[in-house]
Amino acid sequence: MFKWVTKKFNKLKQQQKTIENKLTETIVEDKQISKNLMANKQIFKQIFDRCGEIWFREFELGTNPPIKMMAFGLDGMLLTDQVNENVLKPLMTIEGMINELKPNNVMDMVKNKLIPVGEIKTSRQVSKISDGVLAADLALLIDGCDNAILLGVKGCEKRAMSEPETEPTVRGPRDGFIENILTNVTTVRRRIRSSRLKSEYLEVGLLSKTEVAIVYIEGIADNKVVQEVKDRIRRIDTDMILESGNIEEFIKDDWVSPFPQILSTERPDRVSAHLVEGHVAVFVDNTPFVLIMPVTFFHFLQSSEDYYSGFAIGTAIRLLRSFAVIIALLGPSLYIAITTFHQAMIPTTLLFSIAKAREGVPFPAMLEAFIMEVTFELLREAGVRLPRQVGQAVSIVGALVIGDAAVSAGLVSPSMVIVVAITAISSFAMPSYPGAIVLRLLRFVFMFLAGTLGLFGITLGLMGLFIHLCSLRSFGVPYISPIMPLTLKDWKDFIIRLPIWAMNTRPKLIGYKNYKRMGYDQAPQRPKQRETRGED
Amino acid sequence: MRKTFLCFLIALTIFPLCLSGCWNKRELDTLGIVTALGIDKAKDSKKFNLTYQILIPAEAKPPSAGGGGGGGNSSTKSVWTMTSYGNTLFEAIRNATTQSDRKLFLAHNRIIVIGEELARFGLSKVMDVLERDPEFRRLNWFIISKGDAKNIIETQHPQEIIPAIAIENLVKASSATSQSVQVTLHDFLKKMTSKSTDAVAPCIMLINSQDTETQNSQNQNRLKINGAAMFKNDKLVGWLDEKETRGLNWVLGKVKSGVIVVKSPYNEKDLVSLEIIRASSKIIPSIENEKIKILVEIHEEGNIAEQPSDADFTRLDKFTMLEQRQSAAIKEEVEATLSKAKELKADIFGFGEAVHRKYPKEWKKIREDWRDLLPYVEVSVKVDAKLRAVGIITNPDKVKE
Repeated sequence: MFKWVTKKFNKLKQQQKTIENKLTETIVEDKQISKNLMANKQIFKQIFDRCGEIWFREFELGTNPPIKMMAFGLDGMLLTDQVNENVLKPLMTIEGMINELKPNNVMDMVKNKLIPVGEIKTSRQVSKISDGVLAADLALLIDGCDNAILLGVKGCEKRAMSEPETEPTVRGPRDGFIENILTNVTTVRRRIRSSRLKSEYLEVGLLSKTEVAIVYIEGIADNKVVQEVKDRIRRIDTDMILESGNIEEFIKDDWVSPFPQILSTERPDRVSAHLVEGHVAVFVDNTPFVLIMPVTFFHFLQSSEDYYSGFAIGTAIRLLRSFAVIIALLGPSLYIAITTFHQAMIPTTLLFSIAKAREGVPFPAMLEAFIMEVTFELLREAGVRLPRQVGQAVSIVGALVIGDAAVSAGLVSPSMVIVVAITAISSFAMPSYPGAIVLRLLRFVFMFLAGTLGLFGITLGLMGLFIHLCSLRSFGVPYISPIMPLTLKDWKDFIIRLPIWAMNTRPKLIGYKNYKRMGYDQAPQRPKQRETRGED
Repeated sequence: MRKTFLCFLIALTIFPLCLSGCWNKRELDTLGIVTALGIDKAKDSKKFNLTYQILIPAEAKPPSAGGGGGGGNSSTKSVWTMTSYGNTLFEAIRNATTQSDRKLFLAHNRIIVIGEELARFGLSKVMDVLERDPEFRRLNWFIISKGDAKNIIETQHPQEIIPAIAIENLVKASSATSQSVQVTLHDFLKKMTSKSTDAVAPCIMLINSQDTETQNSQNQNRLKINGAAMFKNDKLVGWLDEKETRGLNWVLGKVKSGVIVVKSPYNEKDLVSLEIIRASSKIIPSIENEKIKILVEIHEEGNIAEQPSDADFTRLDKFTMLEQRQSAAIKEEVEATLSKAKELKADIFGFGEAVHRKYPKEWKKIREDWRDLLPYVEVSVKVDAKLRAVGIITNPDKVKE
């Protein structure tokens, strides 16, 4: 089967190659601009033919004789005020330096003395100029110069930073990433004010030319991992990157496994914390979801709030979450297995209640569980997709269907409703959505195993699952790493969380290059103790 | 790739072998959950006669749902009782499927009641299936009924929906008086097969309630657990009444709680109730001049629970007297049991075991006829009973005249 898939893959790959060749022929022109403004104008008019948002503005520099100039840019992505005030106005109402301006030094004069704009580039190549314009630069062509000036006066509409909706916390910063990559990276830079925070920009996607930033901390992050991330991203040869999820699928280690091997988050604090531990973050333009790699399975069970509340509370919540994971994965299957195979395991009085509830239900327990689980998944999916105004109606129908009508119609037993409800709640206790959805998927597999083989089947399934998890790697780091390989030092931040001052080393497999993280013996002490121990 | 797949297959096939057990797919609504089982000897033949108390799940309401006063036990029955016959017990169990549409499920059986006649006939032939069949649990309560077990199983209980649960609770509650014993199937088997010790089992009986207001004849029968059945090897040889049973419990150190009623040191007509708080015992065997002597030491602590007169027990001499009377009462109970056991030549106390432990060499000579020796063993009882507390008042409030 795998062979067949890879074959198909290769075929697709070749098809794409042909498309790509066609595209490169039409777009990438390695032409250079000439000294003739009219000729250049003609070139760009042709390139931006039928691109309604591009405007061209021709004007003259007030010298004697007047020098013809042309500016063009992308409407809606430039700051109109800046263009008018800092570019057009100084050029058109030139005073004082008229005498110094000569046709041979006009380029330098404009660049160095006339235009008060910070970001300035020059280019001869037509393709670079047009790309620059599409990336919201303002292009300036001067008659008699075979160089174009690209001015950074971009400023497009963007969403205000708001609390990330998929990862809300009670305590913690309220800002979340937005769709603008620069804003996102600088949000992280605001948290880590160090020149060691490196960000390397790449462009991915033949048509989309999406900006991708690889962010890491030099000296902490493993250079090999950084290089591997860069290599994998450079290898991507596609026309379009819409979301970081596309990148994730291109660069993850095992594409068959349903388990997420790259963490995506909307929280700048989470990204910063991971960067400091030695992870590499990949920012993608036009999406608020930032990728973090390498990660282990247990990163999906952690919320940034674990570190903001006290360590006892953080630990308790993590234990609760671990329990929730087990329930979310095995809840219905354990119920099926025990009630249909191992009735002797249930406490007697509980068995009486379950037996009463099961009485008159027409389906076997496995089918019953499948019906309820599928109904729940339908409701969940509909709840996500539906327009908000209709959502309420669905939730009412859902409550009636799942909670009441199914039971009173005798289709399912009330105890099954309870099991499904607890499972549903548990699966949402997992802070990471991609992590939770895998458990939900696997739940159906386990339900089938439980319905056919009982606890024996569940054990088989769990063994298969663990073997699979043991085989997974995320950028070289074993997927269930503090357990396998056993690194007891990393258990300080695992299903328990020690106090912040006790977590004085970085994760061994990820931040081993700069292992020590803080001074030792920083537990809060009474003043007298501090004196006797000595502060040094 | 191929190698890992092979490893995976090997793991998949080898590891599950560690899991074993009896399993089969059975939906809950195909099971007849047996809650109590009665075993009798059929009157006219050698056949066995099994009575099951089977749960009717649809009628078994949870306790909270049966609200609205005492009308809970009136119309619907939550259990169904059924009797099947067979030449062997296993045959009888299988024969039950000719009457019950659901396969009997015995793993949740809680109570095994043995009829008096069968118990007198001998249990060794009956016990095999209870041990051999994986569905029977060794933690079943093992009870001997006065009369037929069938009648016990068929009796309803007004407080519980499922009578078996009521019986179980009655067995457990017997520790409040210590006037019965708590014996599981496991305990019974252990003692029945022991060479020295003989088994006892709690005794269950039907009593006619004195309540004339209830006209329903079915409700007049009440279950009562009191006293114990005394076995010699596998045969029932006699009954212990409630005092004798507590006497047995004193020796075994199994008295958890209970009441001792003694005469007041002030006035012989007044009775003082003493509550047993804790008790322990020691069996010390010794051999002197080739005669086996056994010393039973009993330590007990109690409280004054009730005294009706205005007697003042803060006086030391009266208090000590009360303690002495308490000791005497305990001793009396123990000696009653001892004499009965000697009479029936049944070692229900485990004296033989104690001798075996202390004198293993001598034991070998006497073990064959230990039970015949038992009446000649000199048993002395030493009771050390203390009173610790008097409750939250010292002297009773006097009525002003």
